[in-house]
Parts: sequence; C-alpha cells; structure tokens
Amino acid sequence: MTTVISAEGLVKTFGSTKALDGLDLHVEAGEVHGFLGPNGAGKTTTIRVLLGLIRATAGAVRLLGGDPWTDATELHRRLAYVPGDVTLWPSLTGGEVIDLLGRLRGGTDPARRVELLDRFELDPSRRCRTYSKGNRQKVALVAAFASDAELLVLDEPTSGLDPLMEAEFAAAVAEERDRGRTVLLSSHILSEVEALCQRVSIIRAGRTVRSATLDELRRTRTTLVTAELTGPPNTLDRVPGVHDIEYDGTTLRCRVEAEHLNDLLLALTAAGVRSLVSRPPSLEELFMAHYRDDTVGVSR
Amino acid sequence: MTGFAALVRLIVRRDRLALIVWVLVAGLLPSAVVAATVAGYPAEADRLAFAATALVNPAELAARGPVFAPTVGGLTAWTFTSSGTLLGGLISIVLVVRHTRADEQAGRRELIGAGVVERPAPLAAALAVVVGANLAVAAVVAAGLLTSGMAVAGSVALGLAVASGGIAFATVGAVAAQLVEGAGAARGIGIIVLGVAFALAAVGDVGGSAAIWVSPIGWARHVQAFADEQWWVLGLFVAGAAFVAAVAFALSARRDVGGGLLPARRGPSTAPPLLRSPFALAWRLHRASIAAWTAGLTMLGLLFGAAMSSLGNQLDTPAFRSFADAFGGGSVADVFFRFVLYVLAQVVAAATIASAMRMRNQEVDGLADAVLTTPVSRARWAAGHLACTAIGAVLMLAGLGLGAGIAYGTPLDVLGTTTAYVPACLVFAAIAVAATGWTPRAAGVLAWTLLAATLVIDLLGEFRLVDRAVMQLSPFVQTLQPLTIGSGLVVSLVLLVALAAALTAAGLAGLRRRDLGT
Repeated sequence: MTTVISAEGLVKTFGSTKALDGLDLHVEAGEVHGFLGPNGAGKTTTIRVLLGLIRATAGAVRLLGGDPWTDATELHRRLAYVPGDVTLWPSLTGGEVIDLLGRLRGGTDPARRVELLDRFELDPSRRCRTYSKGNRQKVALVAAFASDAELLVLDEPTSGLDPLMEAEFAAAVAEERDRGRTVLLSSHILSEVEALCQRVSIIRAGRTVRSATLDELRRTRTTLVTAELTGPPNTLDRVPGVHDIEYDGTTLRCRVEAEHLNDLLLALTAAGVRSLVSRPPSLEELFMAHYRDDTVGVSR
Repeated sequence: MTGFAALVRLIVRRDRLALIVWVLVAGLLPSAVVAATVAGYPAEADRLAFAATALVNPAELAARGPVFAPTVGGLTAWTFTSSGTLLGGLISIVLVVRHTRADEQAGRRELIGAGVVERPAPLAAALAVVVGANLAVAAVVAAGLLTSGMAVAGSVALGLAVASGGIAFATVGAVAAQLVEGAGAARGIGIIVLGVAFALAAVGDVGGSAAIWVSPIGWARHVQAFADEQWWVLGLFVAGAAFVAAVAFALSARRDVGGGLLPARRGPSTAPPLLRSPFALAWRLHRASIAAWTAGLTMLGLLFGAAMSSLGNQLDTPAFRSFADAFGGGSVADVFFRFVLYVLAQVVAAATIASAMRMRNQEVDGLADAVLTTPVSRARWAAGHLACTAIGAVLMLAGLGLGAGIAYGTPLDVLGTTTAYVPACLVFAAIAVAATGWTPRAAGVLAWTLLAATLVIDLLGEFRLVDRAVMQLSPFVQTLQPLTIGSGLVVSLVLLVALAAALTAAGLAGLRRRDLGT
C-alpha cells in the first residue's frame, strides 16, 4: 500500500499558542481514515497544513508524494476538500459554485452531478446567501464527490446535515471507498466513524494519542466488571491488568484488560462471588477516555 | 425599548476605537483649518482677495459652495463644511449598515433577535450610536473652535451643521439597509445617495439654483456658520432626518429578519460557460460595484459638464482669469475640469482601495480557501482580483471623463485628463496589496490611513502650509502638476505605474510565503 498522507512530529505555533505539538498522521491509499479529537485539538489546523494553506512550524509532512506547501497547486489537482464551516459566495447560486469548483479542478461528470444533486435534495438555482448551513455543506459535498479526485479531505462534513442526509453522506463515502479513493474524515459522530473508517487517529492538544484500526481498538479495550463479594478480595491488588478499582461496601467495580480477565475471575472466586456483571465498554466510552485528560481504562 | 441599552453598549464596545478616532479627527480638523487660515491669510486684504476669487471660481463653488464671509471663521466654515459632511455622511452610512444589515447577513442578528430584544431595538441602537457620535463630533468641533478664540454662535453652528449632515445620511443608510439583503448593496445605495446629494449641492451653488435645498450637503453649507447663522436650516435637518428614520422603522417593521423588500431572485442552476477561471469568478464579485461606481461617476461627470457648458462664458471674469493663470492657464473649462477631476480622482482612489481590499476580505471570509484548494496558485487567484481592480479604476475614470466631456462637447480632451489619474489610483491599490501580503491584519487600516494622509497633505498644500517637496509625495500632485504645466506627464505616469507594479509584486511575494486566513 502506498502512503497518501504522512506527517511526523508536526508543530504549528500561532504567536505563543501551540496549535500542533508533535502530531503524527499516516493515511494509506484506499482507506477511509477517521480523524478524531475534541474541539480545539488541532484537527482543522492539521488539515490546513495538509492543504498548503498554512505552513508547519516544524516536522515533516508529505501528501500524495509531494510537499503540501511547495507543490500545493499541483497536488490540488488530485484532491477535493470540504471545510467544516462552508462559506460560499453569496451572489452565486449553488449550481454555479459546483460548476466553478469542478471546472477549476479540471471538469465534472454531468451525470454524476445530477445524481448527487438528486441524492442530497439540493436546489442548485438558489443564491448561496439563502442557503442554510446544511445546504451550504451539501454544495461543498456535491462539488467534492462529483470530482474525480483520488483523495477527499472532509472536515466535519456532516455537522449541519439532518439524519437522512447523514445516511446519504455515509453511503456516498462508502461508494468512494469502494472505488478505491482515499478519504480523510474528521468527525465527531462516532457511529459515522465506526460505520465508515478502517483506521482512526485520535488527537488531543495537538498530539496524536492513538492511531489504530477499529479492530485493534475493539480488541484492546477493557471490560467493566461489577461484582458483589462475600468476603474481602485480599489478593486483588496483585492481579495484573486491573484498573480503576472501587469498593462500595461489598460491591467491587473495576476495569480489566481482556487477556487478564481469567486472572481476575480466579481472584474473585477465591474471595467468594454473590453476583457478577461484566460488560465491554462502548466505543464511545473508549473515545471519551482518550478525549479526556486521562488514559485510564485504555490499555496500550 | 427592551434590549436597547444593551445593544448600544455592544455597538460601542465593537467600534470603540473607530468611534474615538472619527470623533477626534473630524472634531479637531476645523481648529487646524483655523490655524491654517490665520497662517496663510493673515491680513484682511488677503482674505478678501481669496474670497473674491473663490466666489467666481465654479470649481470651488461646486466643491465647497459660496464663501459667506471673508473672515477667518467664514473661510474655515467654507473649507470644512462640505468635506466634513461628506466624511461624516460616509462614515455614518457605513456604520449604520454595519450594525444592521451586515449583522443580519452574517446571522448575528438572529442571535440577538432570539433574546429579550424588541423588534425595532437593533435599528434604534445603531442609529442612536451613530447620531450620538455625530453630536460628539459637533461638541468637539465647537470646543476646539472656542479654544481657538472663535465666536460662540459660529462655532456651535459649524459643529451642528456638519453633525446634522452625518445624521441625515445615517438615516439614509438605515433605509438602504431595509431595502436589500446584501450589506454591500445597502452601502452602495447609501453612497450613491451621498453622491447625488453632493452633485445637487454642487450644481445648485454653481448655478445659484434651488437645487441646494433638496440636498443635505446644500443645507449644511447654507447654515452659514460665522456669517449671519441661519439657524432655521437646522430645522430642515431635524424634519428630514426624522422623516427618513420613520420610513426606516416602518420598513423594518414590515419585513422578515434577513429578508429585503426587494426579493431575492432565483438564479441559474448551472454556471455560464465563461465562469471557469479565477479571473471570471473575481469579475463576478467585482462587477456590480464597478458598474455602480462607473454609472455614478458618469452621471456626476454629465452634471458637471452640463453646468460648465451653460455657465462657462458667464464665469470668464478677470478674477477667474487670474485664478486660472495661477492654476496653469488655459480655458475656463480646462481649469475647472482640471481642479474638479483632481478631487474626484481621489474619490476613485478610495473606490480602488475598497476593490483591492476585496481579496483580503475573501480570505478572511474563508472564500479564498475554496479556490486555493483547487489547482489554482495564490498568484493566479490574486491576479484575477487585481485585474478587476485595475479594470475598475480605468472604467470609473473613463466614465467620469466621458460624461463630463460629452456634456461639455470635448469628450476626448476630458477623457485624457481623467484617465491620466489611473496610475495614481493604482498606486493606492498596490499599497493595499503590499499590506495584504506582509501585514494582512493591518492592511485595511494602513491603506486607508495613507490615502487620508495624502488627502490631508493635498488640502494643506492648497493653503501652502506644507512644503512643496512634501506635496511631491502625493501621486495626485504628481499627476496634476504635469497636466497643469503641460509637460512631463509621460515620465510621471511611467514612474507611478512602476511604483504600483513594484508594490504589487512585493505584496504577491508576501502572499506566497505567509499563512492564509490569519
């Protein structure tokens, strides 16, 4: 597989603020890569560096085999971008913007344009100033999907769309993936990420805190165990891979890594178990743990 | 009115710096004019001679109206009233639109409207702040003049005349903001009304006709500060501003937030075949304002040309002859056009700066990203906008010259005079471009400040308060002098074009190396 995006130790400072602080990002050709992180983590800054709109203060970055700053114009032939906050020229109609952006990128397939307009239920004859946020986003999405770019960079593309349109969007991205295009998808909507992405990179405060496939994440997540005990669990501290131990009378709550579940159960039965509930945490809890300033509950 | 006070505080907070600068600069300018007049025309005989020439000079009559008294106060009022009203009117229009329609267009008005705010409160708050700032200008003008030892009645009258002009145009801006959905179009309507009012005052004073009484600029002149003050004229302002403001409130009560009275039409669902390049996009964005400015200036030219062809012979007096000789000689019309066109070229320079700043505005609004993430280089994107700026400068000046020339009967002569100012206007556009490249956040302030400084130097130069060598720094003087002498024009224009090209190249180099959107 060829690498489409590779960023190592990316740093970007604005005056005294450090927006990116040694960020790493690797995206392989043909994958849909989820790019996650809380607000202000540096997702949009990273994307603007990748697009050559701003220059990284330090670090190495390659995009489609070129330098995103010096080769910006050439590289832009091969990518399409949908910003998170779409602004459009108020006096142009949506259809005019789609055609203009398509022509600047070297042409649009008219049949594909009609199909996408229909699919996203967008009226192309309205002036952009009369569009809602969701409709402006649809204009940018139609323009991007109608291009034959090999890389799609989508920055929170569904933040203004209704659930029906979100589903249309997910279907469209899945089609692009099947056609072999690469997608960098920054998103807050975990169900969307779970449905579409093979790999994710989670960033916080300008750094990458985790980069893995969703399968890896699922395998490594910890199980939440709640047990009511008959006696004191004296040996529990010595069991490896157990975190977050809490007692409430005779009730014990803790998290345990998958490969140490058996050790924990042995320790519990030694102490005597009255009842036992064990539940794997949702993907959401996993992301929340990464988003918050702690890494407890996440094994590495 | 619920929410009114909070909104007034919000507007003052957002614009506190601009308001303070405006009030102080506009307020203290008359005191500077007093000092200049005392220095330039110390003896009464000097002032009488100056007033005698000004009264028979159609150019001065058009631009400033008649001199009502050949005293220091009278000359100060004559110098300041028209330009002060124009400046106050322009700022008032821009501010009212900024806090009404621009907020609505940006969606901020909805955030306000959903709060505990009565429907007319936002418009009332915007008008209150601008009216208050104009009255503050009046107070500073009067205080400054009193400190300079001027009479009380005249000082107060001059302050109120200029402030009333600003207030009148603030209400015009308020109506314009109700009519259309775009802030740019609303500003355009307001500025066109300002231009028509100026033209009516000019024609009225040159011809001595009643046209002055339908123009707030004419009213401001005929308050006659320091010359038997006509206080009743201020009543015209009160009645006029109250009526226009009432129209604005009535219109705002009738329409939806975000909507206009002139409805938004649907447009084509596909782009025309030519909309396929950064230049074509830039042209789409610039063309409406270029067309409006060109049409306005052409009409202004026609008015001046017509006024000259009917009055030219009457004004061929010995007094005007001596003025004309001092101004390079030639026919009455030549001298008149040379002077008026010199002033109007400065207006075109302002329009050109606004046009050159559009590139930066596109960047700030995030619209540059959409183009620059396609295979379009920054240089090509900028070139599209700058080509439109240059085309706009040529069309505006050509329209002005053709209008004046056709009405007067010598289209090519006047056209040559106006288009000679194209390089001077482009220098100011290039300053804006250079600043956009290297100090993007200060670009607007820098370009407008340099234009204002040039205008002040030119104005003070007229009173011989500024050294000739300093005046040479003005691109307008660099154009006017060769036109007046009748030689050296080509060298001047080549130098100005070279300067504009160098500044533009520097700006583009800066744009290529900096982060966008910061």
